[in-house]
Amino acid sequence: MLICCKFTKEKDIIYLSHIDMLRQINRAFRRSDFDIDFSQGFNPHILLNLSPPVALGIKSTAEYFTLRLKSLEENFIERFNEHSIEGLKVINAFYTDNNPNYAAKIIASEYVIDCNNCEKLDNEFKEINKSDFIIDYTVKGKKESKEVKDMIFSCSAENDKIKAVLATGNKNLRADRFINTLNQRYNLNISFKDVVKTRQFAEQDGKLVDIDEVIKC
Amino acid sequence: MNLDNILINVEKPARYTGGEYNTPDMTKEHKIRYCLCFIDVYEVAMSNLGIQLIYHNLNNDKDIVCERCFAPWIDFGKALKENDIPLMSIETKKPLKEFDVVGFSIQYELSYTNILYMLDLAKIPYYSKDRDESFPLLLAGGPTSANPEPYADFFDIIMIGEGEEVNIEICKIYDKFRGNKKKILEECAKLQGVYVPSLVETINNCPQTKVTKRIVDDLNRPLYPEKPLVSNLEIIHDRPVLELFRGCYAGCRFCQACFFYRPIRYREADKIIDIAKNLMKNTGCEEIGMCSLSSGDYEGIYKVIKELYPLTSSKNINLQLPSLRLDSYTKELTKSTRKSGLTFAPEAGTQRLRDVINKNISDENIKNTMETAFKEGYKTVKLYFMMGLPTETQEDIEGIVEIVKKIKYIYFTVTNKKNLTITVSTSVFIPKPLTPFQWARQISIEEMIEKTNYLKSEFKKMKNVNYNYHGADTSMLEGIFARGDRRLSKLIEIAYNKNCIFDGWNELFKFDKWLEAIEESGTEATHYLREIPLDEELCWDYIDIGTTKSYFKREWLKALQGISEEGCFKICKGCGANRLGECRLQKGDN
Repeated sequence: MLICCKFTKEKDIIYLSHIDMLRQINRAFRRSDFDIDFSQGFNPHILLNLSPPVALGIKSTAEYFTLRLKSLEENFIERFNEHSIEGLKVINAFYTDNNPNYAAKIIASEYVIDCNNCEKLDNEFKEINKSDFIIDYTVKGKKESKEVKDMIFSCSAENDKIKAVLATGNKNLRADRFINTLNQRYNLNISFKDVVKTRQFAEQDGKLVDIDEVIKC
Repeated sequence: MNLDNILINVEKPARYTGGEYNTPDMTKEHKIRYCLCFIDVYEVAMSNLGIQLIYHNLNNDKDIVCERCFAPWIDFGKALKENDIPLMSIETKKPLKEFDVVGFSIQYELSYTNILYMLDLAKIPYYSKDRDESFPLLLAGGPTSANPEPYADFFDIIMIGEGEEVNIEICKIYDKFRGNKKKILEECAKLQGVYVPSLVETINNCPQTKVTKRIVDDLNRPLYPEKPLVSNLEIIHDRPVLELFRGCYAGCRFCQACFFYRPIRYREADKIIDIAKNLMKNTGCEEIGMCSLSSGDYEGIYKVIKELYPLTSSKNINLQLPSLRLDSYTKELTKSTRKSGLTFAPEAGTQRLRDVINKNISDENIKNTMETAFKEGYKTVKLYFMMGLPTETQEDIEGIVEIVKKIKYIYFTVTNKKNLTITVSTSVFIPKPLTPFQWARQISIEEMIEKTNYLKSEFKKMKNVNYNYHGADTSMLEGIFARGDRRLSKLIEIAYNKNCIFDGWNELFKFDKWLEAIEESGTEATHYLREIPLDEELCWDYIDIGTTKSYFKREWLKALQGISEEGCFKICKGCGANRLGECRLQKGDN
């Protein structure tokens, strides 16, 4: 039996890497004393799958994991949250028999970015993926550039907030790199702390659909 | 740049952000705010049981809130300096300078420059004499307190021995005489285990006032961290630890820990089992470790393993058993632990030299143990040896190669296979204070290189044998500081000014800068590495650890004659450690 959970990554743990998050979730399970179904190999481990990683430093209210359990657990959410570290909290959960495979299905994420007086840029943002959008970044001390307009599904500005939907998963555009380019291009002063990942999407009939609609109990 | 922007640009920012599971309440009402510092990175610091013990006990005191601060890795340190942000605690990001008391745990000679690195980042003057009441009271403790002279000038107080209780007592005195540093120091100097360098007269760099090591006479009294901090990122020993007992029966003559942590004190098996259950429940870790200087010598080890094994295996928790000496290794122990690999430390290549160092392991022991282990399915063996031991000859170095050959042969006869992997590690013997070998000479860099080259060429000829060795240059430096005196604080300062930090990390060790610093400070390196005459006053003679100097002398002379001495499991050998507290002899068969 699988339990699918939607969880948050906020506060200090925004600085935790994906692999460290995995370890923390594992330990919270063990502390909660759930009847976990372990793998059968030489080193038995918890059967846990996570949605694609969120960039270091970015808050998220829409992360997902699935866990294999031996039986239904009462008060799963309360027990997990009581034993989890601050900032990592399950906000929704349901049981299923088949692995929904979040990692494979998710292709995009929505980011909401605080940015004062950004409304005036709304028209430009809406056209942002019509022409080249080049991000500059550094990997292991080496400077790289990449054209990513195909990885921006949409971008708009309203009420001091920018909303951007960016590619996630195999084709991935990191939110921090996206905002760095926005800052340079439009002379903005957005910090990664102003960004929250709020939704993740899968593709259905050629359209982006909220993953909560695609995978549900 | 603000802190958030710095964090996002440094390696592993979670080292500095805290928020670990089991973090105590930092907002409780308190009288004293203490910052516990460790002069290495987070992953090393959080693996240290001492840090967890002190942190836990301080935070459990109703008047104290204890936070942590670990040496920032070079990227974060540089960013703090460039942005003029003073070094701060992990929990509440309070600058070190604003704490009442700041305590450093100093584990290792090659981390001494990191004391200055952290003080510099915290904007606290290096020398105790330059700090008035407006700065926190600076304490030091840890295993290097067996000879704290090289860093004595930097600290107001040095705690010699075990710190669980004395840290709290110092905090209470601090609070009582707050604002009067002189009075605080005078009052603290009256506590057992407290050394106040500024109040002590020295002659020829040797302090003249006796300081008796502090011990915890009953291990059940200080609280054991049953809710230890669970690190957010992967650390070196990523598991909660069960301390079985303190001290060691074996009496290996090179080993400082053996004598420094005597008298031998037990934690009862039932208590350990209880602690283990709580640790599993409170941490959720995949592994649980046992810790003591020689876990295999713990009298209740079978009981502990027998009771814990079903509990851990049903939850897929790996029960780790480190620090086993060869002779205690039996079939029963191997059965209960996962066959991840076998680690043994014969330390010397021949029986003669093992008698000199008093490592009571015979060739027969090695043979029997290996046979047992290979029958149980072990396929990898790690062996540790020392080079440069007193009276060592080329024959002893060749003996290391012989042992490896023998083990390979045993594996082949037991399994009829040749797929055994052996990793041999050698380190350089460094004479440590408060051991029978404290008078011994340390071999020169040239000798170290010669011996290492010989082993390198021999092991190159063998299949599936990996050879690791300690750097000759770092060993020399460690030797200087191990038996160093107060004059070396200048050397540490000059080396730090030449940007020597994290010297224990190979990639950051700058030997050329150290050589310059040694010259500029006028340090005579050979003075600290020579054989010391038995009648010379030693700069750590003022420390009374229980074990007497006459016992060390006896042992040293026996060593030179190649006479070994059995461990003190059942019969007291009169080392003197029981002057400080009851020493536990074993009651039944182990």
